[in-house]
Amino acid sequence: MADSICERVRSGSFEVVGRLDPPRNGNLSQLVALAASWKGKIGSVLVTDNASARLGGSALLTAERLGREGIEPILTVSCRDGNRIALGSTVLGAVAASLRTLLCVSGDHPAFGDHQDAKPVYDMDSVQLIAMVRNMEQGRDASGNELEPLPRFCLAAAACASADPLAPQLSKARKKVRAGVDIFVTLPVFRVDQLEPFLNGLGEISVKVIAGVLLPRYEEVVSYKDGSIPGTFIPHDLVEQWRAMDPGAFSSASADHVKRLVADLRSWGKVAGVCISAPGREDEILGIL
Amino acid sequence: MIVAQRKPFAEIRDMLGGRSRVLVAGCGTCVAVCLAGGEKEATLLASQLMLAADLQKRDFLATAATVERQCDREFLQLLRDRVAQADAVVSLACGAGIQFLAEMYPDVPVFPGVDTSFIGVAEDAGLWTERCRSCNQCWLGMTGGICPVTMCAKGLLNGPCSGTVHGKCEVDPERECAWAAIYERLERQSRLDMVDAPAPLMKHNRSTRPSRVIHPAYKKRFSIG
Ligand code: SF4
Ligand code: SF4
Repeated sequence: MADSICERVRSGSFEVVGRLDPPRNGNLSQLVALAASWKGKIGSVLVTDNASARLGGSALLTAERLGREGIEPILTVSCRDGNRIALGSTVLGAVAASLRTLLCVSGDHPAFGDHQDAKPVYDMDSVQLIAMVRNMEQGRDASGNELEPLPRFCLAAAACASADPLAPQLSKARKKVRAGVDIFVTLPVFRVDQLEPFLNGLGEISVKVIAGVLLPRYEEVVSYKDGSIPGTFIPHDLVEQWRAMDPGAFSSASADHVKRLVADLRSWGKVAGVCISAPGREDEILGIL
Repeated sequence: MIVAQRKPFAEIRDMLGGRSRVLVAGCGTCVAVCLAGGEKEATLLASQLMLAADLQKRDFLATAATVERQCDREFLQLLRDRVAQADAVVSLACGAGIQFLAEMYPDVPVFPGVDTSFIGVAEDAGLWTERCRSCNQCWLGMTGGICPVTMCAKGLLNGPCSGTVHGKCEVDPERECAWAAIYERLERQSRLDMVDAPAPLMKHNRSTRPSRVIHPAYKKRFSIG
């Protein structure tokens, strides 16, 4: 297989990631076909793990399948739904499936999803998950038991660049760096300047930052208020603008906006790539590039 | 203290089924303070049960008795005669008290009259809020006296998630984000080095078996080796 995303961003190439949510119908053919149509345009596919606390297909299985099709997946591993045993086992599964890149996240609270009474597990947090993976690479599981050392992963973590207050977010991001993360993927931003305080706050670090961008759905914008999409803050003037449009006009205006944003981020030079999310609008992602 | 809430009347009535000699056992400590299961509430529930039975013209008697604490055998002992006359007991103590009562009088069915909610504080008149999940490994020294296990909706030990909304929790806009508060408190005390230290994994032995606490002076007497 070619270089992993870590190697690519380190060598200075601009990485384009597209997000796909494993479907709820147990049938991967559409997802695989879409990802295949991205080849050459999109470097890797972020496979979510029950995104937004909504039941989805198996992330591990989906990522494995994409890998077999010659598409580079990033496997999301969320602390919300499994304890240290389940997460450790997912990591071992990732090795077995030849997956090389993991995105380690705490995960949105079940209160946001479609199983609101589910037990929120959070036996580990994202910092501890990153540390566990690094320890497993050295031959120790989360409880200190010996195992065969694992090959080194490319580890990504999430960060909210528009967090308010920002200081605690930065302090946690630094902990993730110390725990051994290679890449940050930010939660979606809508303007380049939303990233500035976060990047300045992080200072000089070896970790590369990939900017998240989101092509929202019309209903999400209509019902938007700060907090309605976890970790995602749409500038209020943009919300007003979009809300004033009919769905058709919104659809092209928002796609144009994201297209410009991606181009701006590319020429800005301060981020190592973009991660494009477009739940429900995935087939528009190619048009954005 | 332990905070509980009275169960809806219909639920208690239905649990009792056809039983006709009911003792309502109140507890004079935590549940009395949070107005869920003290002497007043026990008397009230007994009268409610009597009224409901009256309406159905049933032969029924409910009486109330309240002890200082149901989590102590010494006090539960005082209920012996009253329990002997009953064919069911409704305990208004917290879950621990209810169990201890049931354990002491194993021949009589004991039913819970409250839902035990949490360990918390009296925030204001009529308002109680949770503060501690009794995790058995208190982190408060590292977190500026604000509990990450309880006050963070995800119980995160290493800092905020990505969802904080203008200082509020992503789960509940009415509540402060615990980690925003912890950071602010530590900053104020010039102790931010505390949040830089990575927190180890939680020891969940507490959830795999009921805990025991033995006072050092009693080690010999209760030690299991
Ligand atoms: S850390 Fe929180 S839950 Fe644990 S003992 Fe302290 S206050 Fe209670
Ligand atoms: S917003 Fe703050 S309190 Fe709420 S889950 Fe996230 S870190 Fe915890």
